[in-house]
Amino acid sequence: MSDAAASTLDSSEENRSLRAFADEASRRPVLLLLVSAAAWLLVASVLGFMASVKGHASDLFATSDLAFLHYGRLKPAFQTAFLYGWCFTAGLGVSYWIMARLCKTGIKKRHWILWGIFLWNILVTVAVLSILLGGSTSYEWLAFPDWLWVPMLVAFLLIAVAPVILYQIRRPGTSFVSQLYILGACLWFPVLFLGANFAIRHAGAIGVMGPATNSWYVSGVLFLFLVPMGLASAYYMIPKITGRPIHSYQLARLGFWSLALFGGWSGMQRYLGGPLPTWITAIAAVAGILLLIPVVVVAVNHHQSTKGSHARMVDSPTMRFTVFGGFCFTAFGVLSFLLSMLWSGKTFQFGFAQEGLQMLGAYGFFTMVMFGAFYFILPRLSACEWPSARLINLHFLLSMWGVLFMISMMLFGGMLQGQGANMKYQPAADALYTDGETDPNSPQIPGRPEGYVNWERDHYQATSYTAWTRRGVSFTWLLLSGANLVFFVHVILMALRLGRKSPEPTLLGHAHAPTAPQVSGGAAH
Amino acid sequence: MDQLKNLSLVLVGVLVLPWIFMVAVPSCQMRALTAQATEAGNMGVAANFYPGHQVFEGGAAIYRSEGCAYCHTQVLRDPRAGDDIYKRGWGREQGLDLEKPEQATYARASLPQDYLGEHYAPIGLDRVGPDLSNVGYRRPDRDWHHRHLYQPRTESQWSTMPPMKHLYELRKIDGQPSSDALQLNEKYAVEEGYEVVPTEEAEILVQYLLSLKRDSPAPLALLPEVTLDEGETLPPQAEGVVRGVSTKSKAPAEDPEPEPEPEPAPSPAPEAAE
Repeated sequence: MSDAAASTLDSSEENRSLRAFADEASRRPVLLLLVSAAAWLLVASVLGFMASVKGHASDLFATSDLAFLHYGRLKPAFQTAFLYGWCFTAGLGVSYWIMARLCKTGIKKRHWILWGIFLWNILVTVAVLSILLGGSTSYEWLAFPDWLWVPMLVAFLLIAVAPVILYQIRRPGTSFVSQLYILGACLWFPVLFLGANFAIRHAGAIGVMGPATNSWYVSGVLFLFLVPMGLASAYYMIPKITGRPIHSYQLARLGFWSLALFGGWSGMQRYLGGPLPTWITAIAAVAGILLLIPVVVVAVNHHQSTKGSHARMVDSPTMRFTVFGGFCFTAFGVLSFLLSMLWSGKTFQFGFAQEGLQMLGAYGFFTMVMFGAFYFILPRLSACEWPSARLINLHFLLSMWGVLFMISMMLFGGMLQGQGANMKYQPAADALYTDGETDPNSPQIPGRPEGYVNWERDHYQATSYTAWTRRGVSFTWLLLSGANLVFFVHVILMALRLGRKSPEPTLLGHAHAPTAPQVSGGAAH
Repeated sequence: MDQLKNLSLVLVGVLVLPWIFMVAVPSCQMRALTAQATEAGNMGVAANFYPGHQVFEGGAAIYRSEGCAYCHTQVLRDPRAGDDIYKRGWGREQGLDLEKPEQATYARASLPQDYLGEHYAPIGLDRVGPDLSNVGYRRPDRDWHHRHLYQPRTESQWSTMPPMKHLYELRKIDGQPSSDALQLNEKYAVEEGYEVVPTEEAEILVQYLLSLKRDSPAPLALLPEVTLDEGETLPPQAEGVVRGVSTKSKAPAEDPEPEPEPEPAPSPAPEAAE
């Protein structure tokens, strides 16, 4: 059944009571997931700030007692807290709620889901602490010690099986693309996690296939977990706020199935030109290029769906965050396509830009869309409205500018880094290298024939040319930490039901507009 | 039930399939790699087997737990993908006389066999620091590594590498100073009466770094092919790095003379020139 047909059913009294039942049934687990996600995001931003600062201020707090502040430990700890603490917890919470709403039903026996959430939070805490205390394995996005992945998978399954069950017991006659995306993400992640952990940790001496599998996993988490979870939320929220169904259900399905088809093959193009069997990187690069199809399809569909409703971006926090996330999704897809090429690798491979790409997907798109979903969901769970439009506005502005600055710094820094590393010999660079005086330990001895090139010169250029961008990223982490502190306080207030008791939602911009399409009651679905 | 079952099977299938083809099959291939005999005299080094190096795997765990791979790579890319093989000091640099730079050879791009027997090839994520594939050739001095790990600025003023002081012990000199104590320069010297000695972990990490000599001579059959025009020969720098294959000449080569500088010169190969 199409969304248009579904929306005609919507206003009926029966549907309203079903929705209330679904909300009530999912209230406790979703609230727990959202609150712990917000707390993790705050922890992750602080860790991200510390890691970033330690990346350029190397001697800061560098003593033997403070080994846990070592850059090589802070970085994976930040990634673990951000990914498993924030992204997964938030994605599961939001998807649980949306699935319950769309299926108009609830799960009665919820205690094992709550146990799963507790277990997940404990395991992520253990993972972050053990990385900081020296147990890191440095596998990208899988840096926790070997024994942790099985319990983590169990905890994930305990939570993620809920949306699947909800889909199974749904009221007949409703089918939405958001359900497909959520179902996909919940089924794909266990396969990714199992497949990657088993190959990397327990398959013996697989040499270069270790990092290759790792890059497959990272790309898989981006394209087959974060992207579907984010899109599920966007496809749910946009019709809700605009009051109109999505532009084309066929396009939405095409977007989903093309993502499903190509998402699993991509990732290893990160090592194009590296010591991998050539066919693997070639297939991955082709998949990376074909992933442009779902990206364009989603971009067109979202653009058509929001056309004419841009006024809602001014007053609805959900719409603002979701549309901003949508733009970042398009940018992420295009950039991922551009970085799947051999010619871009020369500059961007092994550089800051790779992190920029990941953050564009995980923060610019996913996190921002999740913020939008939080602003929509929490009032419906807590029966009160957000306390302060000003704080929401502050959160949006800090997050938006923080993300935009961070990603441009990383991409631009990555470009400078690559150019510096590929630059031909320049005596001027060597003069810079010695800071005007001669470094007694330098292998570059004055008076050497010009053909003799200091081997450290390339990487000195790469480091020195990008130092300011790394400082810039630290600054943006400060902005984002501030934003996430505001967000956390706001979420806690809502969870404690300390929000405004008002029938009208908290809107931004101008005073509450009673004539605007009903936001809190919901229009579509 | 059936609809969910079928849908789930399809969804899981679209990911299991790439896992089999992209992860499982090539991983089995990597596990099946073995050392092989090399042609005698290749690159003037008499190694009987390739790979002729042995990486000290015991140190890889510390390399990983300290997160070295977040800033250091251990891979030299194919010249189509980057300039790595032309970088001085990144390879083994046979016959490198600092006064005669034209004698330097190119480094060989990494092959899967270079990571033979390693659980997880530390290819790395970023190049904030230099590539470490062959740091064992470039920096053979154990004490240099210890000083550099303890305080990188003692060896390179501008380095942004974090000091690894937690791998070293600062202790009061009791009787005779330890022979292992680090000889730090004035700026970073410790208090009078104290000395800095490496812990066991630091020793293992340095042993690992010293064992990183991945540029061992590879059999010709494994080297990437480049097409040579008639009468054209491989430039001396590229010997043992690529394999030249002659073809009937179609057009006169424009630049048969090899460049003396380590530039992307070896006119060879449509692929290398890209």
